[in-house]
Amino acid sequence: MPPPLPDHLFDQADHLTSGVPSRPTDLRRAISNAYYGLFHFAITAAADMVLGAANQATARYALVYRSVDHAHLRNLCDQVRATNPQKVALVPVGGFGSIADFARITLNLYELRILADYDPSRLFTPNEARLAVSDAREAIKWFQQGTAEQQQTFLTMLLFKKR
Amino acid sequence: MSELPDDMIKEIAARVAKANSVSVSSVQTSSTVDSSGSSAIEIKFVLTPGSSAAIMGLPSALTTSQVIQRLADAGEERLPIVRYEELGATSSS
Repeated sequence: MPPPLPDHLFDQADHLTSGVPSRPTDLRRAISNAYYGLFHFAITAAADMVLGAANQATARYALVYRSVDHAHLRNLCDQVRATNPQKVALVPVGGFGSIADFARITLNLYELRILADYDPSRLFTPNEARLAVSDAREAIKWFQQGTAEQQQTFLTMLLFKKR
Repeated sequence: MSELPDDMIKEIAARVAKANSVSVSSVQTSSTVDSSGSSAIEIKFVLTPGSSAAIMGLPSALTTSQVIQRLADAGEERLPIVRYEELGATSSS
């Protein structure tokens, strides 16, 4: 079975925000899905880089896939949010380019997802949930527009911590 | 920790939104904490009525990304959490 597909998570979120009226829990799940689409996209790309997509059904692929946690992705995205990041282990020649846009959207959606999942005092509108999903879709396009070096640098830091 | 004045944060955010054709009625900021427990700044773009659909896709994504980038470049160390709310829309808890 392949990893969760971002498009399917986003489609599910579209469905959750299309109700009239949308239920509050549906809006929270849609925002969460927007983040999870990016999370699974990133760790699939990282595991594919190491083992190849042809090995997605293997135990070693699952080991790599499960090696990345949310906090590490969040912290990596935080480290590259400035134009010239200072606290990052690796920087591609010419910087991160559109990969940094991917990282900033992922970082923002992670924080929104925490609010949506765990903070009952926060309110969300259908439009905000739809914008979250829309931002997630754009983020994946930005990642794919990055050069091979930019993508591999980001994914290497996602998998391996500097010591 | 470096914290930019509220007025400067709003000005940067409004400028980014305008550059991306996001129709903003106002920019609201409030202090908060992020998921790691650190100080953060919530930035809410209050959109003009009926304008949400027009910014789906690139305009909102660019605005979110560039606000985070420009504030970091300006020395703001708190993480911005960017949110959107359309005037007249009903929020759900």
